[in-house]
This record gives sequence, C-alpha cells and structure tokens, in this order.
Amino acid sequence: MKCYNKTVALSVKKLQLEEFLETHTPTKIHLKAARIEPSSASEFQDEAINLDDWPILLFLKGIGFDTVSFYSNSQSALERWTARLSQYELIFIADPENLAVEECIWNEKDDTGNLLIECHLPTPSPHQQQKKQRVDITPGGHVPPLEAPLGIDDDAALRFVDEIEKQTPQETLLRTHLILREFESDAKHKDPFVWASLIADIIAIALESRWVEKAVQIAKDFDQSLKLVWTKSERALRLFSAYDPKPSELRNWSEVFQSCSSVDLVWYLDSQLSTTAGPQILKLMNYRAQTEPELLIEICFQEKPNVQRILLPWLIAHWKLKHYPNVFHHLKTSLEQNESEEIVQLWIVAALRSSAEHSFQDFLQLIPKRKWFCVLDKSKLVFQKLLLKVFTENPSHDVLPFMKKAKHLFSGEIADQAEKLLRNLKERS
Amino acid sequence: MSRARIVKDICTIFTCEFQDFEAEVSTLEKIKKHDEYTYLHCLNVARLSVALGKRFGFNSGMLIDLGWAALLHDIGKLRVPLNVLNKAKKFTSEELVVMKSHPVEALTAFAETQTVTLERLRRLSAAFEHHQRYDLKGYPIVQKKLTLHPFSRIVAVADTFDAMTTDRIYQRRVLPDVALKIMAQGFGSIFDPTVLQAFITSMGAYPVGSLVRLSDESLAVVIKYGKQSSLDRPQIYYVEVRSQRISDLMAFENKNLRILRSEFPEDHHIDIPALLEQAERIQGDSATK
Repeated sequence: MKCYNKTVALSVKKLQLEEFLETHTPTKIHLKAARIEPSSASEFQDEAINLDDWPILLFLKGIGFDTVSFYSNSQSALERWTARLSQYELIFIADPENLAVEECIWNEKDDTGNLLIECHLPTPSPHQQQKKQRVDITPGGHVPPLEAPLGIDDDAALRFVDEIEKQTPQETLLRTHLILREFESDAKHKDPFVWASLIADIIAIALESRWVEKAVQIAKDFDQSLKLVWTKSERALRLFSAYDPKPSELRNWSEVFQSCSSVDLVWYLDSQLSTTAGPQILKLMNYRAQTEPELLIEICFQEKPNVQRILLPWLIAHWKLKHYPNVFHHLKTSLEQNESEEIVQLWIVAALRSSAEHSFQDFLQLIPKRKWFCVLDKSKLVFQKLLLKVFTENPSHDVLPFMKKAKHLFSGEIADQAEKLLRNLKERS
Repeated sequence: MSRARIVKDICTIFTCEFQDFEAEVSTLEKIKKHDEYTYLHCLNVARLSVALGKRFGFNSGMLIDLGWAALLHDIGKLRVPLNVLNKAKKFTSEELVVMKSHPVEALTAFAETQTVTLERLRRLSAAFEHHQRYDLKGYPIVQKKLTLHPFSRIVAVADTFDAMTTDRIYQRRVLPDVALKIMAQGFGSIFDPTVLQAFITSMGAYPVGSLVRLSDESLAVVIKYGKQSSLDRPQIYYVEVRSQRISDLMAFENKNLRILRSEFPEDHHIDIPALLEQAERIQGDSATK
C-alpha cells in the first residue's frame, strides 16, 4: 500500500520535477514509454522515469496524451499548470464521465500567448479511428478479477463489516429523510403523484419500524406533497396499516395524517373498514372527533348525506345549543328529500343532543295531527316512527312531558307505539 | 427473453431467489431498454463490488444487498434523456446539470418502478451517494452531512474504475493499472481508504489480463497473483509465439526483470482472453503432471 499513499510523496516529487525542469528545459517527456527525451542542448542521456512519482503526468497519460513538452522552466507557470490539472484530475476521479476533456485547458501559455507547456495527443491509429464510430462492450469483458491474495487489513475489514451489520432502520430512514429534503429542492420535474407515493411509503416504513417520531417529522416536512397521497388508496392504506398506536401515542401518531382531510377520512371509513387499515382508520376518526369536533361538525353541515351518514355517529357527544338551528334545518331537509331512515334518525338524535328544549317545540310542527280528509305525507310518517324509535332507545325523563303533549298527534299503528312508550316512561318515572 | 438474459447476467455475479427481487429485475430490464451501455456498466460495477465484498468476508445476505445496490446504482439515469446520456461531445452546462441530477433522480425512478421497503431503501443509498465522495464534497450536496453508507463507498470505487477503464465514443479507456494509480490520488478524500486499499490489493498493481511491457522489452500478459506475489510482481505469460511460457516475476531468476508499463492489447492485435485461456491450460497441464 505504501506506493499508493502519496500524500507526502507527491510534494517531494513535484519539487523534483520543478528542480529537474529548472536545469533541463526544454524537455520532452514521453508518457507512453515513460522516458525523458533529451533536447539537443541537454547533457543527459535518454532517461527512463517512473510516472508513478509524477501523478499529473500519469493523469495525462490516462486521458490519452502521448507527450508533454516543457519549453520554459518558469516555476509559476509550472505551479499554475499543476494546480489546474490537479483540479481536472479530482473531477475525473470523482466522476470520469463529468470531465469535459475538450473543455479543459491542457497547455500553459504566457501572457503573450507563447506556449510554455504543451500536451500532445498521439496520432490516432486506423484501428482507433474506426472505434470512434461505435464502442462494443460485453458484460464483464474488461473487468479484472479481484483475486490477488495480497491481503487486506484484517482489522479494517472487520470494522467495515461491523459497520454494515450495525446499520439500523433508523440510520436508513435518517439517510432517506435527508435524500428527500435534497430531492425536494433539487428535482425540477418530479411527478407529484410519484413523489407523494414515495413520501407515503417512507413514512410507512418509519411507522413499520416503530419510529413514530420520524414518521411525524417526514409527514410535517412534506405535508403539502403528501396531500395527493390520500387520493391513492393503496399507499394511504399502507400508511394506516403500518402501525397500531397505543392510546398514549394517539396524539403523536395522528399528526402523520394531518394532511388527510376529514372528508377523505370519511371515505376510507366508509369503504376500507374491512381492510387491515380498518382499526387504525377508526382510531383516527375517533381521535379527530374527540379533538376537533367543531371541524367535523362544520364538514357534516357542508357535505352530502353519504358523508353525513358516516360523520353523525361520531358527533353525538359534541352537539351544542349553537348547532341547533343548523341541525334542525338538516333534519327537515333530510325528511323533505326522503333520505334514508338512518340519516333521519341520526339528525333527530343530533337535534335532541344540541337542544332538547328547542327540539321538542319544533318536533311538534313535524308531526301534525292526521285529518280524515287528507293523507299524511310519507316523510311525516317516517319522522313519527323514527322519533318513537329514538325515544325508545334513549328514554330520558324530559321525553315524558313531550310525549304527553304530542300523544294526540299520533294515529293508527304509530299511536299504539306512542301509547306503549308513554306507559313505559311513566313506569320509569 | 430480455428478462432471462438479465437473470443469466446477474447469475454470473451472484445468485439469489429471483422471485423475491421481481421489481429489481424489472427495473434492470428498464435500464437495459433505456440504454444498453448503462446496463452493462451496472453489471460491471456489481461484479467489482461483489468481488470486493467477498474479499471483505461479507455473508451471502450482505453480498446480495450489495449486488443489487450496485446493479441499481445508476437507476437515476432512467430519467436522463438519451440524447444527453449518449452525447459524444462535451455537455453544455444545462446538460451537465441534467447528467449530474441522476443520483437525485434515482429517488423518483425508484418510486416509479418499485414498492418502497426498508431493504430497498438501504440499497438505494448507493444510487444517491455514489458521487458524493468520501469527504462529502461531491454531488448531490446535502445540508446535513452523514457518513456514506458502506455500500456507497464500495460502489463509488467500482463505478469510477469501470467508467475509467471503459471505452467511450469520445474517449479511449484508461489502462487498468493507470486507472488504479490515478484513483489512488483520491485516497481518503474521494474514496474510503479501507475500500480503495482493499480494491487495489485485491487487483494488484497490474490487474490480471493487463498486457505489460517488461524491462527486457518483451510483452507478457498478467495471468495471476500468487500467494508470494508482491503488488507489482505477478505471474505472467509471455506473448511472443516462439517464447510462450509462464513465468513468475517473484522467481529468483527474474530478479532483474520488472514491468515497465502496460499497453493496449488492440495496438498489438493481441487477444487477451485467448492468451489467458492458453495460460490456464498450460497451468492445468503442469498441475496434472
């Protein structure tokens, strides 16, 4: 390894080249043959050199140069030239494809344009000229085997293997999080859906690795991009299924789903409850109902009956007097539009929860006494039936006065049920 | 057909349960369709990386992970337009930006082609980091510096070596021994010193298959490094038809003989694989006797 560790050797040899050129200029160095060709004025003979000692010359040979002519012994020119070529060499080593060889300034000139150092390319052979049209590569064609038993540092090798074995999911996620951050600022034409899916998958992996904190962090960093993922149920379901939070983790865990609107959540609740994501969808909905009921109530008022049907059961405990006008309005609308009995019943409960007092007054309008000369509209009949059902399921003491007042409004089969309910209520009181 | 060929190519490097790597094989198929050169380059980088992993004593699981990391290290090139990827002339500054974006684009290409799992993320590190350099001064530039994943450090060495030693339309390849010496300038800065040291000592100063000019002006092919060989004194096979024979530069009678340099076989119309085969046959014969 000694001969490859040249950090120190380099500077010594560079000095030697400078010193050599000081006394032997002009000089021509043949890179291919690694020989110095004496000029006519030189006293020395054609001399073999070891290019390993002069890395810049080795680099020039690698690039394909054949000869380097030194016309001047100017130290500053040599230093400038060496510094520039060292930069090229670093680019070439780090990424050979990114060194624009044609762009590089290989020769060194003085202020007046006179050549001080000149690099010569060989005249291409017919074989090489042909090759320029096409390059054939076969797999493994030029890859040498790595079987030289020259030994590697055992301790270093062990440490290296150990490093791989100790790579934790956390490290991988940390690394990936950095990549995501970099990518977000760098990639100009990323497909937003692919990007959102990628972020979702990485958050899911963080959750699967039980690293909720990291999942939240990534979700917060990319909340805007993540919004798109909720339209792709496959990715979203993976996110939901990834981790089953304990009650104490709910708050933290729920932040992962911050960008998932409650309307979207309702859709998942409605359609994906039987999947592996189901329990977590329920947990999130429950958490939202507990922590942000007003938002859900707002959505409930604005959305269509299919969303209301899902949301209303979660809101039972959160209705307040201020909601009553809206609730009653929705109850009336659902009756007018012949919505399902389930929704009507849920609105009746909502109305009673938000204000029992107002409800009892307003319900009387909705159950007018049946007259012999007209048929009661179907929605009114449904309302009467459901109202009794609600009262039967939730018999509270304030229902009794209402029932006493409304008893005469019921007729036929429903009147019998009302009578029965009233009896029960009286017995209970 | 293409898939079968890919599986066959991979099997020359490492074996695995391919049904567990369907997505990876499909991705490689896409790379092959996109650009044959990139595909072959990925194979070469994987071949070198896995060979190096074996020298480090990796277990089979690690070797499979490393193999896939190397095979997919240029996955981002799927998103580099072909006119840029195969441009024979120098890149414009815009094209250079596109070209340099491939480690970052790896992420999108990855998500487009594979379901993301923890194992796949681990393998993705090399795709993102293989140009970042050991000292993290390469690209892409990241705000928070994190030590490169060990796979990335191996792939970086293999990638550079293969890129240097492969002919391009606009640039003749660098001879393997010269490439190693040039790469040695990046010891500890561009490359992990442990990895580069292992790479060089596993390959020898003149890698097997190098055509070398000896100090007596004869031409020979490096055929092997024996247990006693030093870095620059391998076993060789003389090329001249009349004096074809195997010789060990460590042998006492060769003490005054040394390798001057390597040369391009095509400049001498020499078929290296054929010579290596001949030498192997001779060695086999003498072992039998």
